[in-house]
Amino acid sequence: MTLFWLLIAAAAGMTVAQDAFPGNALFHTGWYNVLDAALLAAAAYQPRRNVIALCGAAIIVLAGIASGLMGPDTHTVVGSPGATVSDPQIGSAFVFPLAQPDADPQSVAVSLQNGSSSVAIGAHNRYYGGLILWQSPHVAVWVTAADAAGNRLTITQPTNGTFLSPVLSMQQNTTIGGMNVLYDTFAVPAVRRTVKAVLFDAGQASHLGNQAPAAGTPAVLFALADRADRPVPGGIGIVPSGSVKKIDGLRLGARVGEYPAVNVASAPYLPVLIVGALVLLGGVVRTAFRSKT
Amino acid sequence: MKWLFAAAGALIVAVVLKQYFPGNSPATVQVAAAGKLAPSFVVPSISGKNEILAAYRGNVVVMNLWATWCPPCRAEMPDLEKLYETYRSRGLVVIGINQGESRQRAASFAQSLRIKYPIWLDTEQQYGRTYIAIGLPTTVIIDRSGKAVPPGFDGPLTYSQMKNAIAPLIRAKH
Repeated sequence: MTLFWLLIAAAAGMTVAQDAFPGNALFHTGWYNVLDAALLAAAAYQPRRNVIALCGAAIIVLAGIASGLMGPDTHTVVGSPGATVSDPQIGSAFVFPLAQPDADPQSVAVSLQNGSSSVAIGAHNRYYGGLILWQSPHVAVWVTAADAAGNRLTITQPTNGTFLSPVLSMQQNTTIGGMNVLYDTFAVPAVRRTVKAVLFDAGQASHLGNQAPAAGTPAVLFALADRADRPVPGGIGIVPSGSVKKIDGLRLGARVGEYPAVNVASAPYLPVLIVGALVLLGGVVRTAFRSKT
Repeated sequence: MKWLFAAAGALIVAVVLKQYFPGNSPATVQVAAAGKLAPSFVVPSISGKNEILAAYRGNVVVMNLWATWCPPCRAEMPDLEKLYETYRSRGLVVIGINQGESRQRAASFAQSLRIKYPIWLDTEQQYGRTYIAIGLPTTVIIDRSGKAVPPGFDGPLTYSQMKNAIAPLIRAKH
């Protein structure tokens, strides 16, 4: 194999890697893309070059560099069941379907909506133009609130995208007692309370001393505040997942489950990549044919 | 031949670049999936019967999301009742969908305001979540073909606003 073919293989390989390992931040770095272009340029300056193969590799490298430098950075879109979340980075919105806390997140298909078209996304990589989309499970907490008599109360999330949702997507984190925990907030407007919900996974919950739930059960700490965000005396309680506890006259329930989030990564546009690969293959065949004759 | 290669090259560059320049992003997420078939869920009414929005296709539906703790919801409910009484004979249905509260609380509240239009109980807040209510009250109007009519309304409506919103739909034939 000549140096020309090695350079071509390396340049094309750097682009194909973006499809094979989507989401890696390396592909968006300047030096990676400059190196890719440099390999192609070096191939172009080789004395024994194959112009067809070079054109094919150029198409592949172009697709890779466009994705690396102009595609959106890898990001995760988290939504709660029933929410539609717009993603300005890709100019589309994701529709998160309703689901129960015990639903398998792999059975829930989030869809991408762009104008009138809708594309279902699953656990496996899904190509959409210059993007690769795939779902991964994300923790979510389904909460309920009722008054002392057991009458259910509305739950709102004034600071989140989905105002009228009783499902918390737990996107913030903090450290409590050396443990890194997720938290979210919601409101119970009927009783003028805001509630901070801190999630302790099963392992963390086992360190909660006499408040620890049964082994293997996650728990949620609820901390109540009034409208002025002042803590309510006696307004803190830990609720094991699947239970309800009376805190400051409110019956608060929590159920910890999983719900899909969508990962978005840019990728070389597949049809162009295929065209480039076919042209490159044509060059390889031509060289092989010539060397035989 | 050179021109052909140049044109093919330019086309490939254009196709590749187009992938990374998104179109107009939805600036705001509108109330309801406007213009599309309105999502529908089975929920109980305060009378205990299971109800579903899709069953009202053929009618013009004013769907009002509300809660007892919401003062603006209370303020517009008498006007919704007046609208219902005035236009029900012409195929208008007003449905008040309570968000997340118990039957007792919603029923006694509706009774205190002498509300006759159907009140449903969305205890899981499915309608609220799906119709992207960003506050209460939220009103979504659904035409006779079952499609949500843009725009949805966040906040209370006056009687004349309600009337103007439904008038063309009442006149339209299914």
